[in-house]
Amino acid sequence: MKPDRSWTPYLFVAPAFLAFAFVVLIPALLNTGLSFMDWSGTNDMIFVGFDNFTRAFRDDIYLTAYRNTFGYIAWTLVLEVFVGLVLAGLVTVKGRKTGFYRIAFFVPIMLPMVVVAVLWSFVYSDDIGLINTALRGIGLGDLALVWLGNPATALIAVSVVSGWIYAGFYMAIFYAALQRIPANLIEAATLDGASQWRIFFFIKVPMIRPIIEIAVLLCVTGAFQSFDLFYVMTNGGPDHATEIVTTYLVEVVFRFQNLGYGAALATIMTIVVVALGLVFTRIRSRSGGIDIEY
Amino acid sequence: MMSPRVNSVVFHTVLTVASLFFVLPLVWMVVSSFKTKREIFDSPFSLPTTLDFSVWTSAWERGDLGVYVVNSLITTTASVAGILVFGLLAAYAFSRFRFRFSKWLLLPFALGLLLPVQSYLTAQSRLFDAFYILDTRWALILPYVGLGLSLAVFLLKGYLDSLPHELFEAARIDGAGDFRMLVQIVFPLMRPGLATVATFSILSCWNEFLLAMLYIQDDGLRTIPIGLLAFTGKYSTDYPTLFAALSIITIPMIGIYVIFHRQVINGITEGSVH
Amino acid sequence: MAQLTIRKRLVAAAAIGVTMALAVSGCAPSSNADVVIRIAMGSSGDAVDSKFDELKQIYEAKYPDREVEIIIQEDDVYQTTGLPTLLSSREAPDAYFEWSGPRMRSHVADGNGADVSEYLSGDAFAGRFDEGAFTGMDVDGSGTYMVPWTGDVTDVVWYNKTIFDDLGLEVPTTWDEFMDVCDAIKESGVTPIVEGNKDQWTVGNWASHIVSRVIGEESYAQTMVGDAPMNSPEMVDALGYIAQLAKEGYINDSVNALADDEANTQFFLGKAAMIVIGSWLMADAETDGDGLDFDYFNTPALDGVGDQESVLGISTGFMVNEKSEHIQETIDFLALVASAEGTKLWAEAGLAPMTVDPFAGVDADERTVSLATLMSTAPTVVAPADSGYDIEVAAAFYDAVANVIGGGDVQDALDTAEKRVEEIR
Repeated sequence: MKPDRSWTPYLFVAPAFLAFAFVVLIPALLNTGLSFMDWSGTNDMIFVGFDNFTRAFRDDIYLTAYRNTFGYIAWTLVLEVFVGLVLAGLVTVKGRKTGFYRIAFFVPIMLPMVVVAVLWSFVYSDDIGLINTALRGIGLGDLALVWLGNPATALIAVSVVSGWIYAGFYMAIFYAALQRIPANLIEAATLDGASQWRIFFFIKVPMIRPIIEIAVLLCVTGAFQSFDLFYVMTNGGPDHATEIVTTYLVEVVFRFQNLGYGAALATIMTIVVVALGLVFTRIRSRSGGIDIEY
Repeated sequence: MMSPRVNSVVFHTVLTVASLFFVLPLVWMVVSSFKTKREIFDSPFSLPTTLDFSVWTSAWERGDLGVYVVNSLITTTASVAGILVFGLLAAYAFSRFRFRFSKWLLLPFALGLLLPVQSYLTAQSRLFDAFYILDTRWALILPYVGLGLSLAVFLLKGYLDSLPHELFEAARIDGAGDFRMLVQIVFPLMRPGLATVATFSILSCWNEFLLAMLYIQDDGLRTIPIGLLAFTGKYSTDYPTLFAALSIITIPMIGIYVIFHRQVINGITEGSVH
Repeated sequence: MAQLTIRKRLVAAAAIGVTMALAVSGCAPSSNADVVIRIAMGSSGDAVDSKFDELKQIYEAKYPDREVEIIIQEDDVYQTTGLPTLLSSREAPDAYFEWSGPRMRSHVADGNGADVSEYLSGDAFAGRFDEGAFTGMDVDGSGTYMVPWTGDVTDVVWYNKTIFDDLGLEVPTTWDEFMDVCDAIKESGVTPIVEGNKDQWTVGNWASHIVSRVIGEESYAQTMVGDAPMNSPEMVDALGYIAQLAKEGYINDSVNALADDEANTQFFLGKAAMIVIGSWLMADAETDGDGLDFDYFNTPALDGVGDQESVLGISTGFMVNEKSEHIQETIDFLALVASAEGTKLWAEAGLAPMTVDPFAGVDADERTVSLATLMSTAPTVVAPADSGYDIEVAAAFYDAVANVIGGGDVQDALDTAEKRVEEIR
């Protein structure tokens, strides 16, 4: 449609664009520039070329942060997306009333991260925590590890909490998608004598593949944006076992006051995230998933 | 194949156990707030001896929780209003008008969806500092609006794209100007879309943590997430008070969710899938 | 249809108007007083925080056209991101809490710290401080950049007297005796030492002390600014003591997951016999003490070249913001903090003020008094790594310590730390 006056579209777009530019675009550009500087926020800015970047690649904490982030992605793909899919399958079993369960699964998403983090810190606590007390109560005291204090278990522990929060979310997404599958297709399969299980895995799941792919993308990009939970529960500890890129970034910038280095770390992370996004879209279009229009 | 009766029992048991996993920690938190510190320490699973709500009132007062709630209300309302108004205007323009540079102006919003806020956090904080915005409400409202616009613009544009051509043609023939079309035709039809964006934005703003922590130092301006964090720092070993405060904040939220669960779930899932 | 439109527009306009009004209301609040001064600090616990409220009342009564805004943040936040953000905001504080040493000096370098030596030698503070109180508060040997407040002994070993008496144990004077004591306690089924090392400074500070005792104060200072290697054989020796605690099981399993105040609570509830933490435990004891009978002893003598009688401690004070527009009013407030009246408040709250005769007229706990004496009569006072020296180097060191107390290998941990320090240099 052609606008009334040629400038109306620009007028309409202006507020959003200006706000967005001030908050996202300009900082993003500034940040890229800042990555080539050495600055503590108050002293003079010194141009240091690629020094910050070379330092980043030698920084064992930074590299560990990536390892942890990818570990976290792997765990959450299982604990959030896969579990969400299974739950979605369960609540869509034919002829069952499952409304109550769906509400229950979704509750944790409402909560502020602080509440979740504090609550689960207690659940995991070695001294007053639910898990260890229960384990000792039934005689499995040996299994009562210091979940958040042991570098070997800390990341998994935090991932489980993440799963607790978001499994319901993915369940809801898949549930909505499953609801839209034409009923006659399911009817046909049931009449053929297939069990609920087979129907689910061999018919329903493939039909919602595009949604599953989006879910995977959300999970991966979400992992990179994760901060709140890690910061409050462990702040990267113990000994950097749960240090992810974002927590380290915040520490470098706001605790060590090393703004140039922090900006460089952010720039590298941006490149990684964008690259992942591009790879994902490339794979998707290459494999040519059948987009079923409901 | 198992008989339907056994099947049903097994089915509901499995799902009940699963639900318990999601709900139990919260129940434990509320229950524990009625115990004493020693009771919590010595026997985490026991039930409280009394239902003493005074812990709750003292937590509210000592922690000044009212201030945090008010701040969250103000910040969230202002931000969501901004997102809806600016987002609708922009989406309308992008969707219905052909104008030069429209693709270029739209592209940054796509980038905004992908980028984690930490990518530009450092520079953003310096920028705010230069404009003396830090430690004011604007330090949160502006970023919340900016960040929320990416999703809002795309979501609303999606809804707008699906509106039939003829609707606008007819209005144009009737002599309607661009703005009138927006208000008289688009706005009434966009209610579900706006509701979706609103739900999503309200939840994000209400629970936002990182920026609230870094940009606000004045205790009088703190929003709920950071207020709670400060509270946990101050009373971290006063377990009953701590759990009471967490319960006070959480229970209303869950209550609202349970009542509006259909809208909430729809809003959030729509928002993410597009 | 036209009606609806107009109403809709009105509603929209009203909504936007209300929003803007609300948002604007978030801008600088107005106050009735002519002068408002802002004092910032991290929380030292309820007992102390409420004393500042009292002081505010006293000040405002004395100067009716002035108002004091006390800004108290969670202490971990204040130390890391809080204070820097406050200082760079539009309403930066006029005075703020700091530890003496490098942290103070970096504020001066940033233009946020004023030289207050003139005021200190003037009437406002006459007779309140001994010369010794200003040690560590200078920059390159000249000037004084803070008004002293408290002297914190950062680490002593607090012990549960009841448990000691029950087991017939005596306060150890050497590390070997200390290990024997731990062994006896462990045999009896009680956790010997509880530490909450989640934020790494509790055991880190103690390790700082141990290192300075073993390799000497000079070497320690050099290492903590990155001028000497982290992984030298002497450093490995020093951290061996920490490793011993982990190996023998004398420290709680949850050491790296537990927060410092949770550890305090466990000590007060009698779950462990000892805890190594600073003098501020006394302030905690006021509210959480639960009637525990406890006392302290300084870290026992180690096999090393440092002063085995040294005390790990640091002085604190309030810095005046050079950019403040109300320096005189701020000085007046700080004079009140340091006055006899103010000193009484701090002593009552369980702190050790640095003024002359800090406990006059106060029924202070004898442990608080003896700690203050310990600090002021110590032959050597060593500052902990994270307050006294380079924060990034300290972070690498504290990482290594956390690793070792969690059961890691000392050489590996220190090698990693040295690698990181190399990047920082």
